[in-house]
Amino acid sequence: MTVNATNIAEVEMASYDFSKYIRGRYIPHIWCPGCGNGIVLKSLIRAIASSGLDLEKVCLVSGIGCSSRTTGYMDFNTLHTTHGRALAFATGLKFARPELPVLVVSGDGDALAIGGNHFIHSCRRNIDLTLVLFNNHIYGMTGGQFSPTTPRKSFASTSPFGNIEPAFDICQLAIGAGATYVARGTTYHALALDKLILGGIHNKGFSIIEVVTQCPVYYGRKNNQKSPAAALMWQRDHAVAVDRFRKMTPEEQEGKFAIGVLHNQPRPEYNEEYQKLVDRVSGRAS
Amino acid sequence: MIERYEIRLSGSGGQGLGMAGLVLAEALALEQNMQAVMTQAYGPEARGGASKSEVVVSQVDIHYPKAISPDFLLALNPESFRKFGNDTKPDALVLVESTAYQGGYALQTDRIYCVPMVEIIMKLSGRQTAVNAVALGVLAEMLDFVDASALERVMVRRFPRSFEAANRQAFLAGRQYMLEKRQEDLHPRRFAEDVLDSGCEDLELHQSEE
Amino acid sequence: MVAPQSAAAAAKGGSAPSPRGEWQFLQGNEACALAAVAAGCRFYAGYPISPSSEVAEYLSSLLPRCGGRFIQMEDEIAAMGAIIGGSLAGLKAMTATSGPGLSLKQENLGYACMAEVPCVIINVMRGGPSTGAPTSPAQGDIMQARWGTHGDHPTIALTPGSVDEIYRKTIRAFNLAERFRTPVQLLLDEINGHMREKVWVPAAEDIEIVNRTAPPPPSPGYLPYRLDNKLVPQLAPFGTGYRYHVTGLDHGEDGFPTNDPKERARLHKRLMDKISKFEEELEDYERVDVEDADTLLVAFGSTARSAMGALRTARSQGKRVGLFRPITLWPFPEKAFRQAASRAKRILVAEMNLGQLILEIERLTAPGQEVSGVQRSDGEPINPLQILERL
Repeated sequence: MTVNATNIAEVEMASYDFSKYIRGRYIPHIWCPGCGNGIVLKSLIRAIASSGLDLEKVCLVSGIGCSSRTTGYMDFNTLHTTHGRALAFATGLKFARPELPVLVVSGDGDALAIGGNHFIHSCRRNIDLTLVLFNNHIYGMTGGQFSPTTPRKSFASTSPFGNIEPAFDICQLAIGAGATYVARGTTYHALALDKLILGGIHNKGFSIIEVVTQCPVYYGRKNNQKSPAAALMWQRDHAVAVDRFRKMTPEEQEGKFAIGVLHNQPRPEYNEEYQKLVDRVSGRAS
Repeated sequence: MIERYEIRLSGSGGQGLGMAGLVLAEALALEQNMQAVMTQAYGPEARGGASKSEVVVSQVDIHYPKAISPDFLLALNPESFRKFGNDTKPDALVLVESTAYQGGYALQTDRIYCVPMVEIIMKLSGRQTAVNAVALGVLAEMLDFVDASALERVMVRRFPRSFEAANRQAFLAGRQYMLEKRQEDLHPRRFAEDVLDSGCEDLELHQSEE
Repeated sequence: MVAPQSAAAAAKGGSAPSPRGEWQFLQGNEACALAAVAAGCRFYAGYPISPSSEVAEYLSSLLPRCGGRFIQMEDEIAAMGAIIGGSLAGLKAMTATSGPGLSLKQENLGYACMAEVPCVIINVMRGGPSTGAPTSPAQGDIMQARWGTHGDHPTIALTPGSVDEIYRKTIRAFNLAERFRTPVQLLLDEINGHMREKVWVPAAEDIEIVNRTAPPPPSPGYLPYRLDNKLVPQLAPFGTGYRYHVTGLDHGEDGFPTNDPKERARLHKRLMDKISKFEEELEDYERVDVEDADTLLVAFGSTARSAMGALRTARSQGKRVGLFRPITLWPFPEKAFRQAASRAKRILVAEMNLGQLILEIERLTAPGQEVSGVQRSDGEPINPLQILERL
């Protein structure tokens, strides 16, 4: 389904018992006060809980970085891998046992810089993984260096005079590389995010949900988002539901970004194609 | 008792020298119960104008798997004859495709046999694809420890069924040619010079489809 | 058909020679692929690289027809990551590569050591540094195999010599990976990876297969990194009701990251102990004519074949030469080597590099023993004559 400004308001916050899905013994978490990661974590839980998936089978894979610590706190089959490689490990897991639902959590630096190759090839291969990409526009864990999604002119600990590099548009990159479900949400629109993630879980193929989230400590402080609340207000003021965004003129779109399901076009899924190959050749001699 | 006999099969990449080496080595190892190790040119070397495979044969364990100084050399084109002929043993047995023998070589051995293997296969099938099978047929008649029927069995096993008839014919043609020549009891070196004198037709070598 | 005699001699630590089976004429890389399937490997992820690519090519044909999974990944790093994922899902997993690829895989190889994920890495070695000579023989990864990844960790690496041995040691590599819950490297080279030779292929029922031990029934008490006197914890496949955490961070017995110095020290010690305390089980070597040898040759992989050739000639000339051939290269069979070298005045280490294994040998020799090397890095194999002239 398409999430838009109208039905976002219709979604109600359930009174939720998260404890069932969280490894309470490992809380408190390591995230800073005001960090958006907890909002995404809860949205992930609500999406998984409402998906009807067998919780014993759900696998959650992450790379390295703040967002990748999510796996440790969630009570599923969790795999915290090496920097940038979550999709590679997840591909192995999913390919070995296609019946397992495999979700991947990663950050902008993890998935698009050091792990960029796995990102585009996962899109191309269209293997049935759901990637929730926390985009806080910065390397948080290592102390606020600019990342492939840091906007131009932004300040970071390695761009003290302003970033001179252009940023990736994650969703355009994913669509270009062949992902079959591409969505963008924000931590401000937290409840809408549940549905975007759920849509990704249900898509048979490679799904990516970019979540624009805030890093008040390393990004916000240096870039005119003086508080976590200010960062959320920035999201509110710049995110536009995709249907409306598409009707806007280029001038109106300037500085804004679309949220919702940006692309949903099924294609043959990798494991299904492999199974067809197996059916074709099994029993055949060399 | 063969302690170590080194065979080098050379020609241009694509003439099926790897396959010929494999058939020969497997026949010796599995069908004739000898020790045999096969190696072949690899990567860019396997694609050039001078490529090779090698078979080391023994009735005891083979340690070093490559030819150090071949006892037998097959050369299917001039480049391979030039490149791989130099380190052959002084009494090596050499089988050269007639069109590849251009004289003036520094080989010590006078046991050089020129056989128009390309002409044989062209007459037979109009294509050069199975020139390696012709060469194996000739070789089978030159080396008394090689059992031709073992080679034939492996050839049938290793190639797709659609190649079977053509390979068999080519193999038999090679054997046949050598059997007839043997009747003539020519001195090997003379044999080679004769071929040179007769001005063997220059046949262009094509890449085989194997 | 009769089982090969040499197999019996070299079977120490491997599967016993079987009465049932057949001779096949196989390429080294091909034997490796066939043996992997025989050992129960059902997952391959890799990236093309000379001179190892035939392993992938054969498996791309074999695995889909035997219920296995074959995937060609986007790069070497991804391939290593994918086999870790595949192994955690419960399949026996492997990859194949060569020197530059192993360099790229090192971080994830370390991850497999740390997270204790069984897997097999075939490395058909090259020289180097960098691209080196991709299609020429070399043995450039002796130290990379041991020390390539950062931090302290044990390494298991095997170096078969013949194609027949490649078949048997590939199976052993899988068995050791499962037994010790760790990555195992199998080091081949361009010569034995590409040569074709007779191989005794035992009947399936005669192949000894080791599987990871079954974990206790699912319960919140399952500890994927449990510390007990076995030192190797039981590994539950993902998605079977255990819901545990795996990480490359220092972790406690529950798998969750820890900053507690005691827990961290315990983990590191167990990771080392689980291999070092079983070195006798792991050791695998061949000793030839060492009893009276005053000159001891040390060589492994295809170079050991040249060493054997040189030894036979030297012995026929009345020279007292012996050979020590490590088959388990890491952990290096120290005790067996020291015994073999006990009478030797001279030790000659032949290797297709500019001196790697010789460093280990120098460490193990007694004062007064002269150690020198026969070394080559020009892309040509070391032949028996080159060794013989040094004897």
